[in-house]
Amino acid sequence: MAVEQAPVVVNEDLCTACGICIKVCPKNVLELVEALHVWTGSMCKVQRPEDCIRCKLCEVACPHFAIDVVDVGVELTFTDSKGNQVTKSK
Amino acid sequence: MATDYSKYLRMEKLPLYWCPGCGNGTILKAMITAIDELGWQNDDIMMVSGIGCSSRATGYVDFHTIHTLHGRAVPVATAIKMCHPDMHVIVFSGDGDSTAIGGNHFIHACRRNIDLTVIIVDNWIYGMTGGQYSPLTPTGTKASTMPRGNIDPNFDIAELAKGAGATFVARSSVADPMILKNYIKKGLSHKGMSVIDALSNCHIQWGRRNKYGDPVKLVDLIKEKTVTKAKAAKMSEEELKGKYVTGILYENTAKKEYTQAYKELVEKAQNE
Ligand SMILES: Cc1ncc(C[n+]2csc(CCOP(=O)(O)OP(=O)(O)O)c2C)c(N)n1
Ligand code: SF4
Ligand code: SF4
Ligand code: SF4
Ligand SMILES: [Mg+2]
Repeated sequence: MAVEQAPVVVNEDLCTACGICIKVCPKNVLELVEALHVWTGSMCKVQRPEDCIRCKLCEVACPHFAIDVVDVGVELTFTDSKGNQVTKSK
Repeated sequence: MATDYSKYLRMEKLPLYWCPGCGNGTILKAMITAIDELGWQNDDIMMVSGIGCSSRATGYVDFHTIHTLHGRAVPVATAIKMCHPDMHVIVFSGDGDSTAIGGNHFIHACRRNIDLTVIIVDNWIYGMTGGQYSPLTPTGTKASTMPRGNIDPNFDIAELAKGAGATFVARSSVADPMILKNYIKKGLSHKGMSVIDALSNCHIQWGRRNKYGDPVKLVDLIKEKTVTKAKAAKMSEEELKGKYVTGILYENTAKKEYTQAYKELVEKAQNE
């Protein structure tokens, strides 16, 4: 089985749940979800990875080096929002 | 290609100490990405900062770094550039740091056209010390030392830099981080004094006093307040009031750079 590789990954040790990436994402991929993780009581989660177009707008706008987007062209294997295993090459 | 930020950051110092959503990180990331695209080596870069929230940036990067005194980043950077003309010297400075206490140093570095790249994190306030107003605080907006609204007219830092003699002047903001990165890249490549006015969100010290305590809302406000150079050309003076014109605002490659002038002087003296 291929190694898990989502199009966009949040580093939960660095994310401050500021919400900036969520605002700039044109595809509504990301969401703030209630979590006992940071002092804001929420965490940025990749909720709909299958919709990500890898435009990197979230990555350039994130002030905390907490979100990284995989280059277009790199093969992806991830679980989508419906629980299905997806493989995408482009 | 994706930028590997860990190549440029002291990862053990993360997470960043800045407030959630603070524009300092966005601007630092734009600078790092610009350096990555230029292919510069960490050891060829000297990054200098003064004091302030933004000035803490030097602590996070794996270049040669000096975190100097409030307002004194530019003279320290000037000295380093004079001793090491081949080094890429970058100043990362707040609006207070560069235009209030450090204003005099700043204009004289512009006048000399020394090859520094000065990135001004223009968040309209003294962030670190509790929201005192700076020379870049927009007129009419509130600060801890202007609780009824700032009566001071603010500097247009781009005009100031150009008037003082800088040879590359650009402005962008955290609302357009990709464009900001491109301007920083151009500024870094320019031989001479480059000034990048990077409008930034301090939603805590400026924002909370002005009903923009949320970083997303303040970034939106910054977006609203910026107009591109092309658009501005078609707007009246009245329409441009309170707006920030973005773009590469001035570029001059004819004026002699200061370390070059000094090198020529030394060579001339040696041949006498
Ligand atoms: C000589 C001196 N005077 C005053 C201070 C206090 N001080 C520290 S940071 C600062 C202002 C910082 O504002 P700015 O440069 O805009 O940086 P920001 O925190 O907004 O990024 C002041 C007045 C100091 N450290 N040293
Ligand atoms: S890369 Fe673009 S589409 Fe994907 S999560 Fe980031 S902003 Fe959204
Ligand atoms: S912009 Fe960065 S820090 Fe803010 S919520 Fe998104 S991933 Fe987290
Ligand atoms: S006080 Fe303002 S400038 Fe300082 S870290 Fe917080 S948001 Fe950023
Ligand atoms: Mg400031």
